[in-house]
Amino acid sequence: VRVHARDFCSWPWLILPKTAIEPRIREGLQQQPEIAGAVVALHFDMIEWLLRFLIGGGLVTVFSLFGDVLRPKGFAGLFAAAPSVALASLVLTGTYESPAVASASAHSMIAGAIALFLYCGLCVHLLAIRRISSGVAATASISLWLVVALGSSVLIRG
Amino acid sequence: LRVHIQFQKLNELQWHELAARFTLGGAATVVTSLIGHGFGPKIGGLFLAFPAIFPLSATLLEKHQREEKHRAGIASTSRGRLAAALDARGAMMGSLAGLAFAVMAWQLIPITGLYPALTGALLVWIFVAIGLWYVRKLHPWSRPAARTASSADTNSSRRRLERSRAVRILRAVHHHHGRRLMGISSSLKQMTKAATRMPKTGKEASGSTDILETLKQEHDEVKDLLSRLVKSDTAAERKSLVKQIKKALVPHTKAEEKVVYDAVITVKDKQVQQDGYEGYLEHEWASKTLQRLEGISNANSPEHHAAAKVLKELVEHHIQEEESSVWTDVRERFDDAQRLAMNRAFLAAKQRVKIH
Repeated sequence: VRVHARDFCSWPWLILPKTAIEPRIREGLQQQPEIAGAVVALHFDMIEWLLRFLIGGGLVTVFSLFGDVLRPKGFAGLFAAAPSVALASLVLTGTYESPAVASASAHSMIAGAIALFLYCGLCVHLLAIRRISSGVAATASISLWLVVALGSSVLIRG
Repeated sequence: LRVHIQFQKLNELQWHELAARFTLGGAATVVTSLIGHGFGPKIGGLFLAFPAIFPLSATLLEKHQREEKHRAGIASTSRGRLAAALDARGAMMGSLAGLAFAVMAWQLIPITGLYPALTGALLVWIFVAIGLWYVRKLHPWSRPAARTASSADTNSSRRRLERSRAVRILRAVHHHHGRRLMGISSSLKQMTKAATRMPKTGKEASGSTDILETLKQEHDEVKDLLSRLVKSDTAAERKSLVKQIKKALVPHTKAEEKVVYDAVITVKDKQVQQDGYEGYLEHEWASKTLQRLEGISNANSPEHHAAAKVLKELVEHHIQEEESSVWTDVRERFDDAQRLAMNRAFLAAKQRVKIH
């Protein structure tokens, strides 16, 4: 049975952590004996996705602004790989799902970061030595990212 | 190069670029979450470090650089690609720091809870990223090729040099990206345009020789004359050598000051400017010593020998320092076409120097 938090508490469910909503759901379920005892899966709403979109977009923009104002310019390149998407996702995952899921995601991110490092190295090679256009180099290198990320995640997490 | 913040760069931003970043960042976060939902945190976590933003930023960067070059009258696609490569090199360090971020988040979340753990992980990211940047800055292999050129015999080290040269060029471009394209005088820019339009006429033609090649030749010539002067012990030969040295030295220094030092001094970087002014001062001392040398009537006297030795030492020191500092600046701040134009300007300026 899929129930929605919205059915059990008023609008702040949007920004409340799951732990705060659960007691209310349990309470509500007791008043509806026909679904009591059913496995409860929190249903995600469009508004949550909007929130993810806004927070992710905001963090990416803020980090890119750091990259714009910091000098020398080479230093700003660091911010091209700032963990802005990771930070937004971990905050939201930890809040909406559970901190344990966020921690498990961060564990896998290690493999992703190794892949990202090699991806950037390949981009440097393709751009500076082979002089391939940025769009092609950056897109084609994603295949390397996929292979390394999946490969190293098998090594790290079995 | 000191790390600092330039707020005026914010004025150059265009709102549609910000909107593009915002949209892409938001979309990347949503897609990452969807993958996490569909495949679980084990696969979803990988995508926390997915290169979603980089292709866009690299493409935009290349486009900006190309357009800037186009406005300056130079058709160059490789320049933009080098600038994007510089960005990617910075991102390599950023992604290593991202690894530290992931380890911290993974370990800390169960211990301290979500928000303190993520704050801590973010701080670790910042410190590791900045630390890596400084280490790379200070490490010998990031030093310009001129200082390590002696080991450039084997094929692999030559390729490494080529790569470091490419990256150095693009570091300079990146540093100056903005309206002040290369920070050089407008006349030099015009000459650059002329040089790029000019057809290549072979290695020996002045239009296709790098300014640094010409300077190197002249440096060797003067060094040779000076060591002959110091060794010689006949008054007549010494007098004639002093004349030859003057003929070689004066046009060279004057033209170099006009074309190279003045260009270097207009670069908006204090260290580079200092290199230029240092060159001026050392030329001045060499010129004074040369005058003194000419004023000594007995060319085989201890006085003449002393002045000759001092001149040799001054010039050799100057050449050594210039070939590492100013030349590095020229390689970093001016592209191939500009250096060809500098060579033409240098040869023309030499013609105009009168020796009294």
